Amino acid sequence: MSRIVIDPITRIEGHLALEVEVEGGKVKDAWASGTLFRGFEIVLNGREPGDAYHITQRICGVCPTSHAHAAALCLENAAGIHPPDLGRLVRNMVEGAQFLHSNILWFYHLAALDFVDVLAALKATPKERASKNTQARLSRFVESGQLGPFANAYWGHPAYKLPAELNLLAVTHYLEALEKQSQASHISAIFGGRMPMTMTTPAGGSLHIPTVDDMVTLRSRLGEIQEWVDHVFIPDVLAIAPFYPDYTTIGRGPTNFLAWGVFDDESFDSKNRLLPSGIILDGVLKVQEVDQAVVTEDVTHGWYKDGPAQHPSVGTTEPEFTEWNVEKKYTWSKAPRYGHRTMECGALARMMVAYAKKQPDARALIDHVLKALGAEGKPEALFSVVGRFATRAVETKIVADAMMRWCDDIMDHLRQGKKDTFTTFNVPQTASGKGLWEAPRGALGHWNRIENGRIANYQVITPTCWNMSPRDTSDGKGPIEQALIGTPVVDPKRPLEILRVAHSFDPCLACTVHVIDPTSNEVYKVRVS
Amino acid sequence: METNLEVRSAHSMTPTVVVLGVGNTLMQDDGVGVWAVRAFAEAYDLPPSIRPVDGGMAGLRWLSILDGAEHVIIVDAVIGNGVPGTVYHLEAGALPKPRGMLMSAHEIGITEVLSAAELLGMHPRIRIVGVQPDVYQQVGLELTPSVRAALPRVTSAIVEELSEIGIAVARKHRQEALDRHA
Repeated sequence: MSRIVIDPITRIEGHLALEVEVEGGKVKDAWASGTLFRGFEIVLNGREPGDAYHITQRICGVCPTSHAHAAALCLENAAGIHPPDLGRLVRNMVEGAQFLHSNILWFYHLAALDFVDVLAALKATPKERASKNTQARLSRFVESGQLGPFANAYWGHPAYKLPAELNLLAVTHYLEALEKQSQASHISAIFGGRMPMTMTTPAGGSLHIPTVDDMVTLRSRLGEIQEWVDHVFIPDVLAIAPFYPDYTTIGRGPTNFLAWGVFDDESFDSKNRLLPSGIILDGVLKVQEVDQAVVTEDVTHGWYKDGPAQHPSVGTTEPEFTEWNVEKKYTWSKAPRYGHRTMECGALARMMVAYAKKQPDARALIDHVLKALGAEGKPEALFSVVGRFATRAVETKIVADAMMRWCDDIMDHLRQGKKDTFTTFNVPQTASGKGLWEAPRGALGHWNRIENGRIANYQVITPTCWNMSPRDTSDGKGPIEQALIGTPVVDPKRPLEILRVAHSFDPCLACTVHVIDPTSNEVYKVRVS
Repeated sequence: METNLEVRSAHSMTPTVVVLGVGNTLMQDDGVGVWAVRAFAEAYDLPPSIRPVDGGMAGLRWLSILDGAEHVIIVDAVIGNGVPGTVYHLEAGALPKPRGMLMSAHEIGITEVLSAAELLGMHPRIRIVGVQPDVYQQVGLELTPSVRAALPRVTSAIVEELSEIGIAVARKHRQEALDRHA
């Protein structure tokens, strides 16, 4: 039999290409580009409005649940309904499990590996049994010649600073994290019917009525994750951060933050969500309410037919590829803006909004983290790579703790014999709606327009669209483009520092990095994926 | 964490098999694995030890699906030498080596998940049923005609793989299958 290779390209959902100009060992300028046209919205036109729930969750392999819920909210908004309270709680639980899964996965299996030198863990002299076991397992893995998930990285790069023992501890927790994110997936499956796709929480609420058995199973799994977040995840972030003090200033970004908010309370008002909606401008922690009406998408530097910046409810998607030219057009991403401003979204944005709104959990935990980082009273230290790490860890705890409370609430409903999870409704003939929610990696918006009972237009703005956006018509840079400027690059052939900044945003795209060094006139094309 | 898995598999009588359809159904033939596993589950009577799963593109979430499985039959689009619709039977060794250094969770494919599973001490036997795609890089909700026509051959290929494991499955009664569609 001839050897056949499964081409991995089918599993990579487009590339993020970063072009970076390095001068004097630092990034002078940067361009972020999405290299693949997707245009998923086009397939929705003419379909039943309810289909968006099933179809849009296929857009993203990592956060299908968040797309499902944004689509459900979008149709509920168009139909003018809300789920009953128990339906709301189930939806929160399914989304919460997605957050636990995703935040743990992102930290241990992607972002931390830019700071933890896995191979250096072999040099540690562990005393504890668990660490010895990990080291033996890692050693067998390395000796077998296959590094598996640790292959081809920049191990031994001088920018790795952790002592060997801490590297080993982090690898031990990497293995535990694989198990925890898997447990979080099981929680989603208890309510969501089957994972990875969520089938049971469409517009109207939940098709699954939770049982006492469900809740008992779930509570024990959740309790283990909750304890692990408290005793491993948050302490790991706080243990690693002090070895990288410069990363409390590197990767600053626009310091404008946007959160649509996530996890509804009884009011179904996004301002009152567990992680509330809001914006922060120019790094001033004074929250303003968010107004989706001022969102536009600019295509000046994207490969789309030129036109004025449009609100997504009337947005069009007309691809027109020209050439890669950073002066003109260089990406398949549109540039979403909030009243002409570049906005960062994600856990940092959500936590800064929650902090500024004096959400008690956020307040207490962030103050605790700032103190541990030696930045008491200086929340601006969080506008950085370390800040994105710390806020994701803290957020994971807030979500896990809230899920425990929702568990109790669900049990209360069941004890009182309240089993109403779904609001039936008629799909409107003519209407429009918006579904503003959060995926773990940031603000997620769906907008629909329904005519003759069918979808006439559908637009999605994903978190990565905000964070990886290109320049706009006034030459305002996107968040990651801004965050990269000033980042040190010790070795342009192995641009680990650039990856640290890019990873801290938890992008939804694979990546290639082109480093241009004008002094030596060399171009390093580093394929990272 | 590995102990639990080992204990569970040692005590079960029939081997547990996950039939995992992989791919993105929004990208035409890229989703053939998902469609094929769905067709298989609709056409055959399956004992509880066989779990058909719509795996989508879930990456590391597949770990929780593989948990406790002794055999995994992965059904996926595969770029080989055949014409569109060609069905391949492959061993796990035919998979590319892990690429390492991931930029995002979206890059975690089968290879990465299997090596993570190994690191955790999970050792399911892997078999792969591959299907040559025609169009897989353009958005579209349906399979192309040549790949759709291959679906019965793909489901037969899954049945063959099961029989090599030592499990025979029978087709559902025709009327029952029709009722399900009604």
